[in-house]
Parts: sequence; C-alpha cells; structure tokens
Amino acid sequence: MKKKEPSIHILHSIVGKLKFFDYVTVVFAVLLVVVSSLYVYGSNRGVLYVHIKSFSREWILPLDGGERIIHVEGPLGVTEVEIDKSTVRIVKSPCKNKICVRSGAISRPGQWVACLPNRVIVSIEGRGPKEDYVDAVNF
Amino acid sequence: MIDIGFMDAKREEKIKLVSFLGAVSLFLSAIDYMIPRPMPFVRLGLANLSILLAIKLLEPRYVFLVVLLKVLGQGLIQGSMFSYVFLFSLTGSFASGFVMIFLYRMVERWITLVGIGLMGALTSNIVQVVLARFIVFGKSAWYILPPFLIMGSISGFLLGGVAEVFWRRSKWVKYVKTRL
Repeated sequence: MKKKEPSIHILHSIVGKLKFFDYVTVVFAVLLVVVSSLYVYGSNRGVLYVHIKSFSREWILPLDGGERIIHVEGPLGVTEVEIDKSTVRIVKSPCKNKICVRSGAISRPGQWVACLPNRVIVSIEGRGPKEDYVDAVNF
Repeated sequence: MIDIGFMDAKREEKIKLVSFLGAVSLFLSAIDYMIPRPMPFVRLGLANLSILLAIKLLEPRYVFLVVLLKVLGQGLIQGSMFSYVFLFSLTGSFASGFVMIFLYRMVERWITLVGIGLMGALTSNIVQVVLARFIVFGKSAWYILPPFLIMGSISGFLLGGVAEVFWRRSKWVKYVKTRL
C-alpha cells in the first residue's frame, strides 16, 4: 500500500537527478523564450516615420512628433501636409481634382497619399505588424 | 557474397544498433503522428528518443546515421518526403544532432539526457524558424518563434527525462552496453 504513484515517482527521479548543466540549459531556454518574445512582440509599436517626397526635396519626420504642418513646394504651388495625432493628411493642395485631400488621413506603415499633379508623395514607413504578413497558409 | 571480413564484431554490433534505433524512431514517428496536435508543425518529437540513446551509446558518425534514418522515417510516415517540410526536418535534425553531440562530448559528466534533449529541441526549433523566415514565410515567421520555443522546450525536457530514466533502468541498455 505504500507504493508511490508511478508517474510522480518518475518525475521525482528525473528532477532529483538533474546535473549542473541541465539547470544551465533550462535557464538558457527560459532566457531564450523571454528574449525572443520581447524581441518579436515588443517591437510592434516601433517608431514610424513620415516620408514626404516632392520633385525637389525629401523629408523624413517622426509620426508621433506632435502637430506640425509642412509646406511642400511643387510645380503648381504649395501643398500643405499635416501631421497630427499619429496621422498624416494633405490639407491643402493647388491641384485641380483634390484627390489627395479627399484621400484623407493615413496612419499605418505602408500607406500613402499622393498628389500627382503637384508631384508630392507622402508615405508612412517603419516596422509594424501589418508591414509583412502571410496571405494564406496551407497544410 | 558480401565480404564482411573487414568488419570486426564491435563494428557489426554498432551497425546493428544503428539500424535498430532507426527502426525504433520509425515506429515512434508513427506513434507521434497519431497523436493530435494543436498546430501543424508542433510535434512531441518521440522519435528523438532513439537519437538521445544513440548519443550515449555510439560515436558521432553512427549518431548521424541514426539521425538520417530518423529523418527519412519521419518523412515516410508523415508523407512530407518530397516537400519543403522535409528540408526543414533534415536541417533541424542535423543541427540539433551537432549541438547535442557537442554538448555531450564537452560536459558529459555534468549533464544528463534532460539537458541534452532540451538543447536539441531548442536548436531544431530555432533552425527551422530561421529557415522558414528565409525560405517560405518571410518576416512574419518570427512571430511563431516564441510559442515554438516554449512547446519545444517542454517536449524536449520531458522526452529527455523519459530517455534518462530509460537509460538508467533499462535492462536492454545494460545488455547493449556490454556488447559494444
């Protein structure tokens, strides 16, 4: 009647006989899991940049750098780009159709707004979760 | 007739053991494949039991033969022999074979099969995720690394524990040791 549960017995005999480098590998494994988790999941909210390109100049500005308006010179006149609350939009444009203004605000990496007549391209760059993903996986 | 005169008895015993361990890993792959898994790539890795025993019993070149047999057996059982999954399995198994043999040779006296199995599982998982990063899935492959490492560590640790207990208690192991 004093016989131990076999599973507990085996577990006990494993843990009881571990040697120094077994513990080293366990610590290593835990560290690896923690570091890789931090690296992989922690960097999702990386710094995003606004990249503005005109026919003569380029700007690279932080997306979260507070409110500011950039005046971009183009062949037709000045296009006003506004960065505010982590979004970017074109507020004023000298072009005829105003597609750029009506495209609204962008906020995620990879998105862009452009005013082709005035040759202004605004895009958001940086590492983010939506930058690169699998379309479909089949097993 | 095949001339086996050059084979001394011990070498023959070792080759017999390699083929036996290969057969065991084939059988264990089948058992492993029967067990339902939460994610397609997550495996218990039962077949690695024979590799762990091989590391204790045989020299590195024979161990690599067992690894090769395990990979072939796994590919056969899981039907992944001619897909990229097989490449993953091959690379991961050989990398972890290297690490485990190296570790065992370096710190033999201060490590058990638990630590060796754990490191082997980690190596195989890391190598496979790195391959996935560069061959199939691109950057998003990194997202699977932490869960892979967690599952791999747990299964590697447990399997190492089973192997260690088997190593200490099995009459078969004692018998084989006397013949090598």
